[in-house]
Amino acid sequence: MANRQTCCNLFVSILLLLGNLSWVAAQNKAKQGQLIIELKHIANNQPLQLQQTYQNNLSQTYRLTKFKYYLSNLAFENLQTKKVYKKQVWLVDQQDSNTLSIRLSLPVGTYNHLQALLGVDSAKNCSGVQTGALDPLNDMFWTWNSGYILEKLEGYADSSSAFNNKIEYHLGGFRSPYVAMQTIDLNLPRSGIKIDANSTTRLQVEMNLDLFWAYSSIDFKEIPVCALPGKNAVLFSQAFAKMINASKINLIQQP
Amino acid sequence: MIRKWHIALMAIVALLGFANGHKPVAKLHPYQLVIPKGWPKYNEKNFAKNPLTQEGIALGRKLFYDGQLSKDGNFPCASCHQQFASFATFDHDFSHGYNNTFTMRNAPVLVNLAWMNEMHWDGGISHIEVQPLAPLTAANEMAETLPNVLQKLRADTSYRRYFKNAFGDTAINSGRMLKAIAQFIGSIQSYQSKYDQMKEGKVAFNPSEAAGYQIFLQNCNSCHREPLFTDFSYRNIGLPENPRILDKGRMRITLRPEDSLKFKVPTLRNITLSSPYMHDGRFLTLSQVFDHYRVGVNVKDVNVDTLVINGIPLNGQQRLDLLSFLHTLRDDYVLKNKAWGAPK
Repeated sequence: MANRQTCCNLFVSILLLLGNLSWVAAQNKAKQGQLIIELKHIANNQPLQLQQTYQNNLSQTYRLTKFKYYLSNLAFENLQTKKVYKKQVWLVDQQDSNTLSIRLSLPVGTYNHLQALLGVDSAKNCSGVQTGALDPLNDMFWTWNSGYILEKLEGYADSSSAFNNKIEYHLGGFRSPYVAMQTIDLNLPRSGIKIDANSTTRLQVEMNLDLFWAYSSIDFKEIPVCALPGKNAVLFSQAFAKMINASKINLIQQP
Repeated sequence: MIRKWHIALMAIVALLGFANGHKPVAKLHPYQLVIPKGWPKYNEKNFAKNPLTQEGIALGRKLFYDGQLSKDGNFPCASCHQQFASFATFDHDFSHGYNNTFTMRNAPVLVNLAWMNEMHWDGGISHIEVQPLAPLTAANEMAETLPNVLQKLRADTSYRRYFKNAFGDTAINSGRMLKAIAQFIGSIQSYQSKYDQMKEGKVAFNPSEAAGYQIFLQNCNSCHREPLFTDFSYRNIGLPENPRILDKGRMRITLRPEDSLKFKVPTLRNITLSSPYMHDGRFLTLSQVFDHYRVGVNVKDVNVDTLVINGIPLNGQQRLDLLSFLHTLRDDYVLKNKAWGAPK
């Protein structure tokens, strides 16, 4: 009986020890380097500022009060090894400068492709309440038709035909056929992004909002509001993805 | 000696474990749903990341009955979901919301939600945990915002003990609040009606109830499938669209024209307490419901379900018998179980 208990104790000890060892091992795996993805939003050739007045491609003036969107499931492709996935979800919010930089650790190497999901995958729309970037507290969740608002642009335009000259684009929807999630593929330099253990690589993504208005052909008079999943939400989210894909990319290596 | 060494090793290893960020698990008491013989398993998705515990349910119950979840304090969940009406709103087509508003649809009974996949008449809510967000934020219901509710709960010291018991510490956040409410509403079960007792062989139906049961099986059971008395599908039963509300039902969510005027098949459990009937409460009595199925189905609507397009004609005796049977679905346990009532 006593023997048996000793055996049990030993077994439990080994299990616990293995757990701890694997944690230690994880700390020592392949060498990592740091990457910072900086999201720079541009409007009319100036850094975007909320409450600042700009013009869309139809020369209609507007100002934004909110500009937020979700990025998730980053996939870095490396010619030497396999794809490296970063499955987190990031909420990028113009209001909160901390969210405009995404900091990542990546195995050292050169990466030639960077894909991401603009939005949140459908499983996360249906599996209950989420935390962090996906907390419903972030005001990016539809309560009457469960699902995330993937991109949110809100503000005012004199030409808007909506109440109080509002413009409001809440783009989302995960139910077929109106799926608003978009895969984006950043136009990285030919030589790729080099990740190195001794320096931090900064990847500046200059996203031009003028292109969003151009690709989406939004006329504030015709469509001042899109706050439901559907055809327009899909078209506008595609325009948003095209804008990101067309971003100018600057690479900065810092020791 | 060896044994002492092992105990010491275990202690060290365990300490290392804590240093790694593993928290000691709080003492929770799991709660088991009752699954009567012959019932399907409940929908595991509902509690996959939110295992039912007595502590979680106790917190959910306190929240369910707390007016602080609404803007002016007058509209707890329980204002529309009254226990004595099987958690529907007694005798109301629409329920009252903040500032003299009305809800858009009839409040459904809340029983056996653990078996449900999607919530609302139109299935717009994808998971039981996010269900409370809808009434909480709707301007014509509780009219509150999530940040405000959390602020009120954090300021109310009586909640600290409940959150600690349920989740290990006193932190109050949206995830914990919603999970606790999901646990409470998911724990409400109906399985003790006369019908259930008949199925278990404890009581016998009288002749009228027995005849009504046969009529039910022949005419109603393909959608209102026993033992839950719903198959959770969305169907258009030929109710002409209410021109003042223009509620397209399931199509509002899927945007598919073929889903026009489809609504979720409601359970028939405690149906004699949940008048008025249909998504907009247009029928005051079950007799009016029977009349609809007999002669009221809008045959011009191309989306009407083939099961009802030709009507369900019942003669007077059949109607009386069916009514007798529907009375056997009344479950007083739901109405009187103190554990589901307002906390003291």
